[in-house]
Amino acid sequence: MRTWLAAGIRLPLAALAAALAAYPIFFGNAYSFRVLTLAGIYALLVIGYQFIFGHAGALSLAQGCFFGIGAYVSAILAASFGWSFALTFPLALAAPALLAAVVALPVLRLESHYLALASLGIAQVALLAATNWQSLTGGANGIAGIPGIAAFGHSLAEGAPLMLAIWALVAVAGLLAWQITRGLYGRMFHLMRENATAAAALGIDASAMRFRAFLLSALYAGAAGALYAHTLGVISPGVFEFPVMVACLAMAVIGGSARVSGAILGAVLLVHLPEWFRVFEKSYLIVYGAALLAVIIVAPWGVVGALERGRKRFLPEPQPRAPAQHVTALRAPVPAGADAVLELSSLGIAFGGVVALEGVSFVVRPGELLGLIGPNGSGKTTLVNVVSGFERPNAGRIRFAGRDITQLPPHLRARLGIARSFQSIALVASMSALDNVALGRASLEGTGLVSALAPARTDAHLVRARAHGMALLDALGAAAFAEQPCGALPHGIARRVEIARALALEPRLLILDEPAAGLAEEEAALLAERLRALAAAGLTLLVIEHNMPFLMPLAERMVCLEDGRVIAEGKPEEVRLHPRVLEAYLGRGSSAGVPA
Amino acid sequence: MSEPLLVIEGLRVAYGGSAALDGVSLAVAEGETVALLGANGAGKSSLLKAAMGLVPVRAGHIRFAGLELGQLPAHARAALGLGYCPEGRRCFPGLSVRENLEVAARVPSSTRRRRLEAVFAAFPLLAPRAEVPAWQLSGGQQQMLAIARALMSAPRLLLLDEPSLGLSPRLVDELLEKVRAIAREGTAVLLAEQNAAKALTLAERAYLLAGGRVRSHGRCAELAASAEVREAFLGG
Amino acid sequence: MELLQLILDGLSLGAAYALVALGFVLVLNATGAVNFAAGDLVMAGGFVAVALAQILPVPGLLLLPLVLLLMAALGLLFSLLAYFPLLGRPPTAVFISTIACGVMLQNSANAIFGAEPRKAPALLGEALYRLDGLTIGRQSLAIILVAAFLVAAQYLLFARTQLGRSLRATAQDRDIAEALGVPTRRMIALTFMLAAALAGAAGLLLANRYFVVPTEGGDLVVSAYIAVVIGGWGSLPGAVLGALLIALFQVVVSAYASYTVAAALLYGVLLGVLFLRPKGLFGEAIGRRA
Repeated sequence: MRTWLAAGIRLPLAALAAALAAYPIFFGNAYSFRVLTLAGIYALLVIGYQFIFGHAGALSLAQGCFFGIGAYVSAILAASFGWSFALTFPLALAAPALLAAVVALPVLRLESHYLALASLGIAQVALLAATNWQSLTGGANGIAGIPGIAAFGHSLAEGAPLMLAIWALVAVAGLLAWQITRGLYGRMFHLMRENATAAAALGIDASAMRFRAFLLSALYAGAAGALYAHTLGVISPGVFEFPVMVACLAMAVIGGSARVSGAILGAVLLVHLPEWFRVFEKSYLIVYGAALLAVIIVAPWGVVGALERGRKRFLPEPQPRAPAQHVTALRAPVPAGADAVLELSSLGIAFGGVVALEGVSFVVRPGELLGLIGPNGSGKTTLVNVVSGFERPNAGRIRFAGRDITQLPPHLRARLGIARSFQSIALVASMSALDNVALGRASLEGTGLVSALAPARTDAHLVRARAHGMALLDALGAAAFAEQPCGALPHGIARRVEIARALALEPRLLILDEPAAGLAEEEAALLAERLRALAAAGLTLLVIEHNMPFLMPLAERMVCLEDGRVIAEGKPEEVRLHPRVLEAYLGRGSSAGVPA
Repeated sequence: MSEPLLVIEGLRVAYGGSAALDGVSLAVAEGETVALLGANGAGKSSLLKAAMGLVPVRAGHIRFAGLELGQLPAHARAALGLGYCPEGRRCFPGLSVRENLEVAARVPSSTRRRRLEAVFAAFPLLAPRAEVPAWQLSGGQQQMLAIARALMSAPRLLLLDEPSLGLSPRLVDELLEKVRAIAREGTAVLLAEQNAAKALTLAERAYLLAGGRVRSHGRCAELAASAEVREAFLGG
Repeated sequence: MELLQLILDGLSLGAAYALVALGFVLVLNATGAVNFAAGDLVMAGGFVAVALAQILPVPGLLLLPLVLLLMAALGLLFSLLAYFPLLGRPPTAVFISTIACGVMLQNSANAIFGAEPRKAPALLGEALYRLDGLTIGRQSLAIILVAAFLVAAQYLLFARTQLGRSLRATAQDRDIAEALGVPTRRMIALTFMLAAALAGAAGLLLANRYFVVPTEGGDLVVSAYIAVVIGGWGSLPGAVLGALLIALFQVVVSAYASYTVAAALLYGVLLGVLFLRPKGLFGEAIGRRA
C-alpha cells in the first residue's frame, strides 16, 4: 500500500478525491454542485483528448467538435424523438467516432499540423451545419427541453447525485485510460511520438496507433458531450465554437498532457477559473490564454508533471527490478532452401541532383558478419535506410529471407526480422534503459489496445518484455544501468542499450550503423567483443563502419562503397589493400607506401 | 610574439550525456593552413561548429584575433572574420547561385559586386550558373558554391568542414587546389578532412583527433610518416 | 454577366485572403511553425482600422500606412511572447502558444470593442460604377489594387534586396545563415512583423465590406491554411494563387447554393487534396535539399 501510494502522484490524487467526496457534505449548494458536475464532464473530455494529444502527440483540434456532435446527437434523439438516454448515449459515442474514422484516413499519415487545421475545418463545418440546419438543430437558438439523465426507470436528481454519478463515470473512464497506457502499449505511444522512425524500426505501426488514439478521443468526447447536453437541458451551436476546444487544450496542457490526473486537475482548475476571476466577466478567456501561454513556456509538462518532478526529488520511486529470464532466442536466419539473408540487386537512389546509390548489388549470407565500409558520404547510411525501408529506391530490388521486400513499409520489414541501430542514438531520453529495450518486444508481444485492457495489477506484456530486456542488457554488459533514464547514459552504454533493443526484436539480420562512432578505444574494443559473441551465437550482422581498426578484425567479409557504388568486396585483408579502397581512404598515390 | 589568430584551450562540447570534445586545445596562426584529421565521430565537426558558435561550449576558451569569443552569436563571429563552409555543403536550396553568394557578403553593394566578380573569377564553373537555384547543382558544384560563399565575407580564417565528402577523386583534387589558392592569398584555413593523405599534403601542420581528444599533432611531414595516422585510418 | 460579377467579387475577396496566406507562409517558412493566430491578426488589423478611423476621419487608404506600422509592432510583440521563449522546442509548442495568443487577441478585442460587427472606412469611398450591367464597386477595385501593390512590394523585397535574401536564407537554413553573418533572430522578428502587417492590411481591406467581429479569426486561418495547402505547403506564389482560387470558389458556390454548402465543399476539397496530392496542386516550390 505504501509503495502504491508513493508511485506517480497518487498520494495528492487520493487526497483530492477525498476532498471532492467530502466537499458537498460541508459546503455543498446547488451552484457548487453544478460547477463540479461541469468539471467532471470536462475531465472526461480531456482524458479522451490525452489519447490523441498527450499519448499520440498529434495536435487535434477536433475534440471540441466531437464534444458538440455527442451533445447534439443525444439532444436531438432525446428531445425531438423521445429516445431514452440508454439509447442516445451509445449513439452519441458512435457518431463522433465514425466521423473521426472518416476524417483520419487522409490526414493522420501526414504531419501534425495537417491534423490540427484539418480537424479545425471539420469543427467550422459542424458549426455552420448546426446553425443553418434549422429543422434538425433548431438553428442559432439550439435545442431546449433536453431531459435529464435517466435509464432503466431511474433518473438522476440534480445536485449531489448527478455530480457523484458523473465523477464515478470519470473514475471508470480514467481507470480505463490508465489501463490502456500504463504498460507496454503506453510506452509504445511514448516512443512513437518522440521518434517515429525508431518506432517503425521496431515494427510499431505509428499511423495505426494514432488512428486508435483518435477514435478513443472521439468516443470520450462524445460521452462528455452527451452528459453535457443532458445536464444543462439546453444546447446551442456554441458547443461547436472554438472556446470549448481552447478550454480542452488548456486543461490538458496546464494539468499535464499524458496523465489522467493531469486531465482531472486541469478540468477542476480551469472550470473554477472564471469563478475566481469574476472581475474579468466575459473576458475570462484572456486569462485562459495567458495561463496556457505561461504554462507552455515555463512548465510544458504541466502541473502534474511539476508535482511528479518535485516528488521524485524527495521520494524516489521504488522501481521493481525485473528478473532476468532467459536469453532471447534467435530466429533461424533464413527459411530452408534460401541461401542469402539479404540480397540487393542493382539498387539505385538519387536525391535532387545527387546520386546516392547506383547499381549496388551484394548479398549477406546466413550467419556471417559483413562489414560495409566507405568514406563519409559514400552512401552507407542511405543503404541502411533503403534496406530498412525508410527510403524507397528508384531502381533495383531487395530480397530478404527469400522474399521480395522492395515495396514493404519499415515496420513490416522489422516484423520480418530486420533490426537496425541508428547513427545518432535513437532512444527515448526520459525512459529507463530497461523500458527502452522492452520496447523492442512490442511487435513480438502482439501488444495492442485490447490486450492492454486485460485486468491485472501490472501489464503482463511489460513484465515479460522487461524480463527479456534485462537478459539482453545483461548479455551486453549494461545491466547495471537498467533503471537509469537513457538521456543520462554515457555514450558507450547508450550504444549497447540500442543494440539490446534491436536484439529484442529477435532479428534475422541486425544492421548496425556506425556502432563505434564516438566511442573511446577501450569502449570500442568492448563493443567489438560483444558483437563477436553475437556472431558466434549465429546472428547475421551487417555492420556499417567508418572506423577500420574496429571493423577489420571483426568482419568475415567486407564491401566497400564509394560514391554510391561498390568498389571492392571480399576478405577484409583483400579489401583493405585494394588500390581503389586505399585511394578512397587515403587519397591518390598512397598505395605505394602501404606496409605489407 | 603575438598570439596566433585562433586559439582554443581545453574545449569541451557535449550533447546530452556524452562528450563530443573533451579538453581539446589547438592554435592556428595568421595565414597558416592546419588540417584536422580523424575518423567519423572523432569530433572534427563539433570543433569547427564550436569555433563558429553553432554549438554550446561546456568548458574551455576560444579566442580569435586576441578576442575571447565566449557567448558571441555566430553572426557576430562571421563579422569578426571567421568564414564557415559546413559539412554537407548546405547551400540555400531556393536561392540562386548568385544569391547564395551575395547573402554572405554583409558589406556595401559596390564591395559586394567586386567580391562577386572575384569569386566568379576564382570559381569559373559557377559564373555561367549564376541564376540557377542551388538545389539544381550537382554535388561538386554545390561544394564549390559552399566554399565560394564562405569567401564572400573575406574571412581571415576559413573553417572548412569535410569539403571532399562524396566527391569523385578528380573533383577532390580540383577542390583542394582551390583551397591551396585561397591559402596562398593569405587566408588562414582550418581544414577538417578524412582524406588524410590529401590533407597532409595541403596543410603545414595537423591535429589528429580521436574520441574527442587530440591524439597527436605536429608538422604534416612528420605526421605523414607516423604509424599512428595510418593506423587510425586503416587499422594497421 | 452574373458570373463575371461574381468573379470580380471573388477576386477582391481573394486579394485580401492572399495577404493573410502570404503572412502565414512567411512565418511558416522562417520558423517551421504554423501560426494559428494568423486569422486573429487580421481581426486585430480590422479593429485597429476601426479605432484609427474614430480619431482620424480620413479614407482607409490614408490609414493603411498607420495600420501597417501598428500591426508590425504587434507582430514584434507577438514573436516575443509566442515564439522566442520557445526556441528549440517542438513545433507543437509554438502552435499552442500561437493559439494562446490568438485567444488573448480575440478576447481583448471583445473586451474593448464588444461583440457587435464593426465597419472600417472604405479605402477610397464606396462609389459604384456601372458598366454594361456589371456593378463595380470602387472599394472592390481598391482592394484588388492595394493587395496587388502589397504582394508586389513583398515580392520585390524578397527577390531584389539584401534584406530579402537574408530573410530567405534564414528561412531555408537558419544555422548556416547565422554562420554566414546573418543576424537570424532579427530576421525572424522581422518576418513576424511583416506577416502581422500583411494580416493587418487584410483586416483593413475586409473590415469595410464584410465588417469585423472578434471571433472571425478561426474562419480566416482555416481559409489561409486551405489556400496554403492547395498552393503547396511553403510556396509563396502558391499561397497567393490558392487564396484567389478558394475565394472565387466561395463566392461562386455561395451565390448558386449557400455559404454553408461552399464551406463544406471547400473542406471536402481540402481533404481530397491532402489525400491525393499532399504536396499541393502546384507541387513544391523549393526542391528537396540535396
